[in-house]
Amino acid sequence: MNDPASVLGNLFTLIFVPLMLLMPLLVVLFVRTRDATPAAHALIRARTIVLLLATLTAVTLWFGSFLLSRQYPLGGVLPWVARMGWMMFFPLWFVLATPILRAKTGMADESGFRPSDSVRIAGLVNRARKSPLRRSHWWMFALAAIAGLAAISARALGAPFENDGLQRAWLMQLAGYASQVLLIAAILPWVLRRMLLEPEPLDAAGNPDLAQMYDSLRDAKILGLFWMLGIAMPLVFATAFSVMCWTGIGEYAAWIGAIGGSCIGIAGAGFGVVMGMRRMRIAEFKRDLDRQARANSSGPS
Amino acid sequence: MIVVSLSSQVPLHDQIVAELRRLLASGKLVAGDELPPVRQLANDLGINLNTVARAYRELTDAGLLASARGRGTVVLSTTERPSGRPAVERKRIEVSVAAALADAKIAGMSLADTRTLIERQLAKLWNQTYINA
Repeated sequence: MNDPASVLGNLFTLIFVPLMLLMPLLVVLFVRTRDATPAAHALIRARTIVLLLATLTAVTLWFGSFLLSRQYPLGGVLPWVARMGWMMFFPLWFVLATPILRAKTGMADESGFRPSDSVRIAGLVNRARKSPLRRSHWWMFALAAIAGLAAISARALGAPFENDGLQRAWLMQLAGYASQVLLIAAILPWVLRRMLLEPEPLDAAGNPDLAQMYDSLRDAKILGLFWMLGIAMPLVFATAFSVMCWTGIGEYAAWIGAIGGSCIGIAGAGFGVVMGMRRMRIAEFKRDLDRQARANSSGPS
Repeated sequence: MIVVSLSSQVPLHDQIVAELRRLLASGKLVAGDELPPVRQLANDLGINLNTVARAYRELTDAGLLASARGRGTVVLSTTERPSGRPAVERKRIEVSVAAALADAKIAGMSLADTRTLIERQLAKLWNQTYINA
């Protein structure tokens, strides 16, 4: 119980999991309500109470699993629930917190449009050409993938396998890693291209600050996702598979995979929250610009 | 920039076609310019993909746009491919102009205001060269 992996795992569980579970509620409480009718206020309050109860339930479930898992591991189920409890962040954020945030900021959806926005304005810049990723980024991805393949493949050259079972396991690990990397290579460019084309509605005057905010957010999102999925994830996979095939101890690899994967997941969730808030700020800025334009056009001429 | 109004009586794809034709006529779009991908424009305007695709197709059929491999949709020409004999084309445009002027009169605009409006549009499209003509 006192080996470094257990200590690290417990620390991770005790710090990061509750942080993740509390984050949606904290963000909702942090964002202030704008231009809401009394009915909308009541709805926001009711939904916030639901979020609060769901958060308390999630934290209780996680903490209960954590405490009980120390006495009754139940075949590893309870420790797993305690370790992976942070995944309850996703329903808390996407199902409960996001509708409250939309209601608070008056947004209809992530595009920033509301049903009342009848006039829509789009730029003519082809954003498919504005990716912040250069050829060097893809070389880094290729290097990370090849380094992992080399580390796993080298096991066959390093020392002879003690039996056929170990050799078969090594082959499975090599195939497993290669398929993960190929999957990322197939999906990542497509996902990043779709991000370039996400809605970026403009204001009537073509405010340069708005365009600059869109550029900055788009670049941050694409680079962030690239580093997480294109570099960090292959490296975590490579480390876990390499440790497994070189030491033959699956538990170490499981810990590396669990902690590394969870860190990427948590970083991804945190990143998503920050990007979502930046997107909302841009939507608010655009609404202010639209409001000003309406006031100017209806004012005395 | 392309502006469309969801509350307008004019169908959305016609509004997009009109906006792109205006940009072509005013020289803000020239031959070789790339247009945003259909998905991007549809996302930015918050409308259906097919609406934008239909507008692009209409302008492609008119010889104004073309699909180029690796470049998406580009401006092919700023002059429309004639759909009929010159006399027929001229008649079609005359009918449009007459309808627009009738609209202006029915809307209660004075002759002077209508003339100012037309001159402003001519100035935009011909870069004021019509004044010297």
